[in-house]
Amino acid sequence: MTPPTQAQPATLSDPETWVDRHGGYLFGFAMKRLRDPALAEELVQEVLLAALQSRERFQGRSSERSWLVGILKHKIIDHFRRISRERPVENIEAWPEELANSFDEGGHWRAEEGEGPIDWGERPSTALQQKEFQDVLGRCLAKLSPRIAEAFTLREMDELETGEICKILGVTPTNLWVMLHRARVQLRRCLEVSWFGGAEGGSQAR
Amino acid sequence: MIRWMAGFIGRHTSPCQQVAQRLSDAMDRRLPLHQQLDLRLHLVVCALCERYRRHLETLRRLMRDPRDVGEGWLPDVSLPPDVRERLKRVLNSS
Repeated sequence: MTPPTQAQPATLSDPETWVDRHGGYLFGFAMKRLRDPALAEELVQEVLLAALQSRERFQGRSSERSWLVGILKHKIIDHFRRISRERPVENIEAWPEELANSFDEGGHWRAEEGEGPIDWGERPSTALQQKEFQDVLGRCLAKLSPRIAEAFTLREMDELETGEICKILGVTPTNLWVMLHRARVQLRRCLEVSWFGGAEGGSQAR
Repeated sequence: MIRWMAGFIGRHTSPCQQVAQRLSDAMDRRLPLHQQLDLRLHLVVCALCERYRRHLETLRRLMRDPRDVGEGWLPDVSLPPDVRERLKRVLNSS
């Protein structure tokens, strides 16, 4: 009879090994959300220092990595909150409507002019396994205006509810819905042009 | 008859431009009943909006990659050597 192991609380490894064990993961996690190497490094550094200071309070209910990722998530949200306070979202009604070109005066898709959504076929099912697709997705995200990218990141990568995102970014629900809509419009279009619509089965990123 | 009905529904539901915003909204909140109905009717007769809806779902699936980072995503998630060294120095000196 082997004793059950799941009740064993996780223990922390020597902090000197943290960078080798988790540094790449944490850096990748931050880069995926921030796309700024200097900022990602700064936040990962903050995470490691915060973890070092609070390691006595680690209770082993999660793995060492989940614990570090949890701290990083908070640091990223704090960062978004800080820059939102510094530069609040301005009058959203005055933003150019990126989708306007896709529709005629009656509000219908301009399909004949190639502006309507095209058939993506089976490509999405294998896209994630391809490194080139990850690059394209990263580049398309980088093209969004920063505020819109932040809203979309919190919603789709971190799966926060819109109420929480409104508090973090200091925007009204109505503004947030417009921001998320715009993020989807632009990303969908960018992926279609750069990946799904590519003549060579989508392998050529433009 | 079917074509006539499709045309009728198409004319009497919201235009595609508004449907696109509603489809996005529906991913984040529960729409009022009349909007849900309007949306469903429109999608029955409008192949392009139905395709747009599927694309939004695909986009969500691609963003919520269950593998998350680690192996996925950004060009190179391995730690650049200089960053590694700086992080180690900071950690060791505190």
